[in-house]
Amino acid sequence: MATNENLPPNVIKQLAKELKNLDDSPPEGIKVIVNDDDFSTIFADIEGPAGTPYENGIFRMKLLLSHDFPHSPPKGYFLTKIFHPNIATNGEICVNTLKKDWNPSLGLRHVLIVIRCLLIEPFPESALNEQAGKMLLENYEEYARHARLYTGIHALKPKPKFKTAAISESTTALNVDQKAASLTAAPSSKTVAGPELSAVAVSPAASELAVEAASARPASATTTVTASATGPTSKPVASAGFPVPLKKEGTIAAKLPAVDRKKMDARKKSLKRL
Amino acid sequence: MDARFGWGLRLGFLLPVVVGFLLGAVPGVRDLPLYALLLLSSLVLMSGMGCWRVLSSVLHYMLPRKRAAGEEVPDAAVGGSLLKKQRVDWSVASSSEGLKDSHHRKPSAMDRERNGSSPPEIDEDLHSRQLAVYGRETMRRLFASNVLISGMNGLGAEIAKNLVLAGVKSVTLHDDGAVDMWDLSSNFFFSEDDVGKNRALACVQKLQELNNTVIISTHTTKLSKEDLSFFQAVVFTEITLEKAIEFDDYCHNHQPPISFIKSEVRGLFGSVFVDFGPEFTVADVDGEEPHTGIIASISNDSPALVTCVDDERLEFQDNDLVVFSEVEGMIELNDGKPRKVKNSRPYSFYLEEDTTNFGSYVKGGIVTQVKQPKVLKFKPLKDALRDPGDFLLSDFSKFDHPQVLHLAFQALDRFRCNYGRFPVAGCEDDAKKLIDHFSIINESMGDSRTENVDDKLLRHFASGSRAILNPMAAMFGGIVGQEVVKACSGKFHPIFQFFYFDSVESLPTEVLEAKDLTPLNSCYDAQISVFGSKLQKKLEEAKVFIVGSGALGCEFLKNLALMGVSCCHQGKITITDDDVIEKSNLSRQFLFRDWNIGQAKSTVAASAACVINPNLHIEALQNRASPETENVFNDSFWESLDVVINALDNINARMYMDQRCVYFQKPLLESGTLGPKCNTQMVIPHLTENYGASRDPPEKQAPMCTVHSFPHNIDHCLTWARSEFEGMLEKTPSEVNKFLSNPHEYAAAMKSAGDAQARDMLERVIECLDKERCETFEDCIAWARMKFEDYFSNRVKQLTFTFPEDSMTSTGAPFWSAPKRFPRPLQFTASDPSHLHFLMAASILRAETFGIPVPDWAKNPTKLIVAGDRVLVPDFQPKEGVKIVTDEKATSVSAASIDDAAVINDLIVKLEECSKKLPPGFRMKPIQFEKDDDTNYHMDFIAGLANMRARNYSIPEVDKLKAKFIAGRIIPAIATSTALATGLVCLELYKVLAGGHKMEDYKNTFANLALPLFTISEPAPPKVVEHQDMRWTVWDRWVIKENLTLRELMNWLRDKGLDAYSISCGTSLLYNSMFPKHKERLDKKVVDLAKEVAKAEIPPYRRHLDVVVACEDDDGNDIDIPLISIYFR
Repeated sequence: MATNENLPPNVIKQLAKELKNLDDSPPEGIKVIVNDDDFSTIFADIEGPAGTPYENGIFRMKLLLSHDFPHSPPKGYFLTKIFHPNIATNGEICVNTLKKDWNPSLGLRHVLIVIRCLLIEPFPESALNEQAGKMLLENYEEYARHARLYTGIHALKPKPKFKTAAISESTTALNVDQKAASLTAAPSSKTVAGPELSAVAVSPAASELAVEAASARPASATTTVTASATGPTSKPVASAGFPVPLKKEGTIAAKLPAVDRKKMDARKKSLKRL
Repeated sequence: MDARFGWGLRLGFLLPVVVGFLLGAVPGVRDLPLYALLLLSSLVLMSGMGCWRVLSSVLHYMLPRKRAAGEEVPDAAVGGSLLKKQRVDWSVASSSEGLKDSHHRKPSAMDRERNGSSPPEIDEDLHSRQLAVYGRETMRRLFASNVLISGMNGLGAEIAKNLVLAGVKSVTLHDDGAVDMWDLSSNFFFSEDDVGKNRALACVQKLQELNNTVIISTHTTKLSKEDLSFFQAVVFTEITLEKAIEFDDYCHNHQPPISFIKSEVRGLFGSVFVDFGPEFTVADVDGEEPHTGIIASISNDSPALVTCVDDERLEFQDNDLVVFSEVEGMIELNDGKPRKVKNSRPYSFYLEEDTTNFGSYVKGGIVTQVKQPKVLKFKPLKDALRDPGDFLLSDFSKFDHPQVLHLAFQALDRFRCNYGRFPVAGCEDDAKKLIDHFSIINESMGDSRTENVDDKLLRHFASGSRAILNPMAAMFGGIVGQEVVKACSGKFHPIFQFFYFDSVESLPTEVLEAKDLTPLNSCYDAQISVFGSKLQKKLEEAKVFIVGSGALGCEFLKNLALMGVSCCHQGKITITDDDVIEKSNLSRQFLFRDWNIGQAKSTVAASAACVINPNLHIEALQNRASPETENVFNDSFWESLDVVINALDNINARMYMDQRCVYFQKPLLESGTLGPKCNTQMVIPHLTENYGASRDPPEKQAPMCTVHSFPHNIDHCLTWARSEFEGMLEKTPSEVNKFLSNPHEYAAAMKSAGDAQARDMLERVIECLDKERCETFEDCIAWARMKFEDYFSNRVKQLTFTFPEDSMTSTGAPFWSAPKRFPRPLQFTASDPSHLHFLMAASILRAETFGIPVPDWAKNPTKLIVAGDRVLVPDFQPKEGVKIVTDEKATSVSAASIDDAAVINDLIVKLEECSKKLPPGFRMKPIQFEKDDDTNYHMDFIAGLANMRARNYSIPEVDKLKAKFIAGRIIPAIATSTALATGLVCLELYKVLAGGHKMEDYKNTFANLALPLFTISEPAPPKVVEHQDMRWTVWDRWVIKENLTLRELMNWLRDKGLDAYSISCGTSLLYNSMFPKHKERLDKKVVDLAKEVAKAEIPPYRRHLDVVVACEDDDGNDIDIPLISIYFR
């Protein structure tokens, strides 16, 4: 799914600027995650805004940047299932900012804020998920209940939904020697290549799965820019921010409580607090 | 590489075909003159000896009929192909005549009758890009027009080329003079062998090759004014003022009036005079589509206030006329009467109408501009000379030039009448004489005389006046060609009435001595007389990189060949283009013939340019200019260059070239066209900003939900149709193949993706291999029929079930209010040709993806109807909507909320099951959208999809051609604006290669031939960044001659007061302060990191690498610093 297109140096510089800015003064309730060798896919965890049916949920989405970014708008997808009039069942987002009203000077911050605002104020008039749109118009309570249900099932899940594949796919360097990467990932719990985040990946269950899936684990650093004022540890859902290679979600979900504490610690170390 | 060798090879391949064609395919070979048969047999003999060089020029004359030959498809039903064939025969005869003697020939009554007997048909494949500019009506008018071009100098040749490419009915070339050396620098039809021949005759065959549906004839004796009566438009490029006044008078008063155009290029000066008669109606003054708006409300008032939805800004202007449709409530406005716009604003305007007593507005409505024709009253030349009115201004910094040139051209005419010659280049005495004539004419103007005339301008004018320079001819050939099209069609606004232009800045900065300007009896004599032999030498030795060999590229090659650029051993043009020639190219890319279709553009163009100037030193490559080809276009290649000329058709490649030119500090001459518009931009190291410094705003994209459920114009329907085409016919079949080639890997990839998009894809793959798999053509028809039902009935029923017509939004407004349009389902009706056509196109393409042969009867409507009727279509039951689970703590929930990953697992099991039922080795054939093949059903299907959807939403439908323009994103293009752009660029090339020019000498242009409008201005300087006491621009580079570590690099910057937070090399990040791990890299050498992280391979000859650094100053402000080159060895 990843576009895998290289971004020109000047765009990388521009993105570095934007990411630094997001890092310095993060927008409320939004956490940005990027891989250091592929700026063309940017992940963000959006906290469900208080007072909405999405409250307490963490919704992971990704922004795909084309090689023509910022001239062309990024493509946005929700990776966490969500019941929302403007978000299609396949995760596509209908928002003017990403299409008609795009303007190269808007920047990622604006896009992320607009998408979070969409969770506060859906536009059933421009529904992409028509059922959700209809329900919202006809019976807000039912819509809200339904949206809460989705939030409860998918967005509160204390299991990471971050798919390593999504990263490695778009990571040229990793694709080059995928084999080597997965080999180093397997046995040792102290991989040199792995920075903080790999500490998570090499927890026994996860690393086993990573090898099985033959998908490369992140051999390079991933940073997480946290926006929530309280910090991620205050909520159990915060661990949703971890890139762990998954094969069978069911199995890993079962093992998660055991590794949860470890992950928290790793996370504390790995994240730059804001 | 010797380009001509390649040319020879191709001729060898073609020869049997050509001979066979001439002998066999032409009925009545015996009618061919004897000499032609002799020539043919000698060709055959010589071919055996392999004398390709000798042959090439001869063959060149004998080849023009191939295009029609290709068209002779055995399509019995079409009378048109017979017509074309007749023309073929005729042009054979005509060409032979041209070779035989100088007997002149006019289109006879017979020609006229033949061409008038059936309405001219448009070859839409050939002319698609031009049709996108002109439309069918204008093209038909062009096809019915006879044009005279008198004076076959370089300007005449350019005009003729543009008109023959455009496709007028006939072009008559008039000239009673002979070719001389001075003609060779501007008329690309002439070679040195032509010196002494009649100029009209020497052009005719090569001109005919460009388009053999145009009748080309010659007139080689003195022209009488009665001769003009046959034509709709006459153009004179070399005529005395006296004669011009006489002819113009005749044309002006003729019934109906004959459009008269007089144009001259003299050195770096040019003029156009236009007289289309006492009353000329311009049908379309600007060539723009009528503006529209979607209405939100209309007041009952006088004047009435009309507001529109804030979807798009309105582009109406005051006094525009508009009509209304679909207005509900205030139905009086739907009467089709044009009404006037007042006080127009971005989203509203007042209507000059009293609506007080009209019904009150309820909803809906579309307002559309009515384009108004304009009547122009031209003055005849003799009156206009004395009272020229306003000149069309092109360069505000030279606002006083047009009126000086108006008189200067008259003074030159007197000089020539008095002395029977032009002023001699560099001759002070002749210049004085011209200035005297000028003064006399100026004095006679009385009160409207011009004061403070710059003698220097007149001296330049006098000195260069004999020369016809190719760039000037190309530029004016484009302008005048367009004026002729306007005269013949009423499309676009003519020049009213004089246009003058000069490019004195193109002269070298140093003073030229008379002896520098002396002719050397070479084909460059004309150019030398203006620029001197020193610059000529520089031109010949120049190393030029032309990127792109399409329309712009062909024109550039022709221009450069004539100018003698890279025409000696030291000089070299490298031209690259990875594209091959297609039929739709031929109506502009005039170096290509239809027997070149499928061949590499750059090679064919280079060979053709070598025919224009055999001294040209050129290499043709087929590499796309992109990061992947930097091994071909490497440092030493770049360092050798003097100048880069872009001839590209897309922004990405332009941005890339810009970046490379900035890096290697090379001048970049950039240009582009869009229909009648063109622009040129000079990028000169350290003087101007670079190309990428400014960009046009991005194209507006329609929001996802608009395309998905709420389209309100045909563009939305076409966007949807293309994405359905790609999903169904390309993407899904490719996915199927991906799965079948490696089921295990595919399943693993899908599982690891585990998201909604992977699930979607899997569902489609299964659908394709299971429920919707086709084994016979009947299956495909059934599939197509069901698709129709799904797309145009069921989905609409579901949508209107979900949102009924009377739905309300949360604010109480109707859900289906503007710009949304309420859809209605279609009922499949076999008797509706568009329904049936959809069925045909869809089933044929479906069959293709399954490798099912398409039976002949597939195209037979009756049989198709029968097959379509056999399909059982189940009744549609709208989904009642998602069931609400009331218990939020419920552990089992409806299917919709089940996790994607679980679904994917089930789907994969299912997929593996159904793949077992497939025949061994089964693969699908993905179809890639190809817009330009009229027989592949791609556009039929897309137009069908879009139009049926448009019908659902009561959006006006479009024909296949229009659908192709929009869905295929066809860029409208005509030969004239291309010629204009390249002429302007080549005027700049003189400056670049001479060197020493200041920024204000360079000119950027925006022009729109439709209005017409010329905006010539000096380029913008590069942005200067200041930090502490340093200043730099994009052209600067910071150099560090040391193999340093990342930390040392950061300290180096720190010493300049800069904090680096991100350092990248190519597309890889070497360091970013956000990633704690990167701190570990600080003590590594930058070069080692680049090798390690960026996988940078630094070629052995390169001693440096470049890094891009993002940094802040001490106050935390971002500072854009130059690229840093680290010389590590």
